[in-house]
Order: sequence, then structure tokens, then C-alpha cells
Amino acid sequence: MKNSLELLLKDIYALEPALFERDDEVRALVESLLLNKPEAKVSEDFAVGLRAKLLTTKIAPALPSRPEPSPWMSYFIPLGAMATLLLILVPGYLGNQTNQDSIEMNSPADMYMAPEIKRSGGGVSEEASMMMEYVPVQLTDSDSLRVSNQIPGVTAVVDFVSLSQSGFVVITSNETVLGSSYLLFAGYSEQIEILLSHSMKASQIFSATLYLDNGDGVFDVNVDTPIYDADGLNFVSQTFLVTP
Amino acid sequence: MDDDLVYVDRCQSGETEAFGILYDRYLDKIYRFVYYKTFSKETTEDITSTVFHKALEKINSFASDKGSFSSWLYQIARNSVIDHYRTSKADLSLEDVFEVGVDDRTPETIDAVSALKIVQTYLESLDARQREIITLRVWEDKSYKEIAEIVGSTEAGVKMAFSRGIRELREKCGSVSPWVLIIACSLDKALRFYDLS
Repeated sequence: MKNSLELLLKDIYALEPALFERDDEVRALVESLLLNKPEAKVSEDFAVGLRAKLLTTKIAPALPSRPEPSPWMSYFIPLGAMATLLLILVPGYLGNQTNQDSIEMNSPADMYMAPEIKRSGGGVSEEASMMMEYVPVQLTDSDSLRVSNQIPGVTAVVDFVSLSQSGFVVITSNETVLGSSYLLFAGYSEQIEILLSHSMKASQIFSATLYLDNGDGVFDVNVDTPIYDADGLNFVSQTFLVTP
Repeated sequence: MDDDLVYVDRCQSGETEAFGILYDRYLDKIYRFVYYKTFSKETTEDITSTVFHKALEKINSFASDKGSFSSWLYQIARNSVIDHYRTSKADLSLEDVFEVGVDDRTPETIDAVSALKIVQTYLESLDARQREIITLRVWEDKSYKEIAEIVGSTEAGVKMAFSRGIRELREKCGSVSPWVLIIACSLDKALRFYDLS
């Protein structure tokens, strides 16, 4: 213990030279900390029991790793999106000109909605129908997330999160925070369960937003800041619908 | 420990037995890490069990280029402690996690040594981050680099938090004579604050 004490004191005085003037107090303090280290002994039964349980668990097969996106993807994705938009708009426009009796267009938004989605609207609100249609393009930047529509309950599950720095996924409704993930470290995380303060009910819409940790490891909406997308205009966020 | 990666590789190839080696290496360390945050034997066993199950379940997501296996495991443990208290007690912050275990301790034995109690009270008066860093450095003998990886900070940030914590402790303990502290520390270990159950 003497070695540890001397090393720690050397460390402390290197970091805070002024403390050396109070060497007797600092020495007594550090010595008391060292001597008061709580004894935490693992019980034999617990160690053996847990080991046995773990070794009977089968390791899940490795998921295929996500390949690094090629730089060309930054050109192809917008081009692909434009091509898809044209494919949707042009037949819709032509169809509107030639078959006005067969497909009714009530609003400009209808033009973007597939007929089968509109017809199946039945018990779901118009807002909810639009949500079902909204599938955001996944950014290939390091900060991104994906969350599928959820079932009613108090737990939201985020499919995956990719972060360039440690942060959180935060679930909100009308700008009210309902829950946040535990601290997620930089990199890729999946199947993140978030306990919410209120239950999600069918047809409600929520948002999942990425926040940067300020370094304390705990989410605080007043201190931690939302992460912006590559353009710096919008938060990295995705809305989702609760389906029955 | 570099050869951890050999066993991690074997685990990632589906060899569960290799996880047994990693378990034997880290069980004590993770157990202590959790215990210093909860001070309850039962809670520590529950959380330690969760940590190793999660690690085994997620072993394929471990990537050695993002840090050591040791840091990865400590991060799981740290998040599991937070998770545990968030699930069992709503709105509990990391700041409160340290305080929760206080009820599980044995106050009558703590009261037996008043000077010791003062030291403990002062330690508890630090913020959660400083306390975590001080216990990792002093009790776990972790390097600043390892602590930085565990708490998700920089080495410089950890050093600063450590020295500030010690300075604050010294200021708070300044009124206690060093001799009282030393006498208190020399008493039997059974009188110190740990779970006697």
C-alpha cells in the first residue's frame, strides 16, 4: 500500500503542486481512502453459478458488418431519389390527365401517396396515414438513427443508432421529453430500448432525436444539445407512429 | 490485456468456452466496480450477472479498433448500473446512484467510527463523476487512460477531475486532524463501510 500511496501523492502533487504545502493533510486523506477501500468479495456460489449459466448460452452468430459507403454514394443517392420521384410523379400526372374517374386526387399531398395506402386509411387518421408513407432516407454520415413504427406501451425500441461521439437517443412528443436512452458510445448500437414516462397509444406520433452528451454521461435536456445533420439545418431525428 | 482479443476472436467464432476465460479474468474487477457504486451485495450480483450476459450476447458487436475489451466491459457495467436504477427508480440521475446504496449499508457500524464517517460523508459530497474517478484511481488502481475510456472522457479531463476532487476533499477534511484520520483508518476492517451480510 505504501507504494500506491507514494505514487498517488506524486500524481496529485504533479497535478496540483499547491497541495504539497499541505502534505500531512493530503497524505492522511489519501491513506484513509486507501485503507477504507471497501472489501467486495465475490461469493464462490455466485461465481460458479453465473459461469455455468454463461457457458451454456449459445453465442449469437455475427451480423454482417456494414460496409463503408463509397464516396460515389453521395452522388448516387440524390440521383436515385430524383429518379424515384420522377417515376412516381410522371405516371401520377399522366394518370390524372387520362383516368380522372378512376383515381380521385383531393389534395396535392394525395399525388405523393400510393392509392393502396389512401384506401387502407380506414380507422387511422390522415396524419397517421402520411406517417406510414414517410420513410426517411438513411444518411450515410456517422450520426444517424432508424426507428420503426412502434406498438403501444411504455418502451420504445430504436433499430439502430450511429454516433460520431457519445450521446443519447431522446423520445419526444410535442417537444416534451418522454424518455432517453442510456449513454451510447461513439459507433454503432442497435436495438436500444428506451423506457418512457408515459405510455404510447395507437395512432400517436413521436420523435426520436440524437443528442450529444456534455461529458457527464447523463441526459439533461437543458445541458445536452441535439445533433444536427450534415447540412447543419435540421436535427438528426425521425418521427414514428404507434400502430395497434 | 492484449491477449483478451485472442479470446474475443474465439468467442466471435462461436466458441463460448473462450468467454469463460474472459469471465474469470474480469469477474472480480467488474464486481468491485459495481459494488463501489451500489454497496449492496444483492444488487451487485444482479448487475454483474446482467453485465456478463450482455457482453456475451453482444460480443459480436465488439470492435477492437474502438477500444480495449476491458473498457468495453466497464462501459457495459457503467450503463447497467445506470439502467438498473433508472428502471427501479424513475427519474434517478447518475448523481443519485451512489446515494441509493447507502440504505443497504450498516449505519451502526459506520457510526462506531466518527472520523471515518466524516471521510465517507465528504467522499459522498463530491459529484458523481469526481467520486467515480477517485474510486477508480485509488481503489481500482486504474490508469488515467483506462478511466478516460470507461467514463467516456479525455485523459486530461480525468486528471483534472481527479485533482479537483482531491483538492475539494482536502478542503473539506481540513478541519479533521490527520492523526484522527490515521487512527480511524487503523481500526479493524470490520468497522469500515462495507456490506457485512
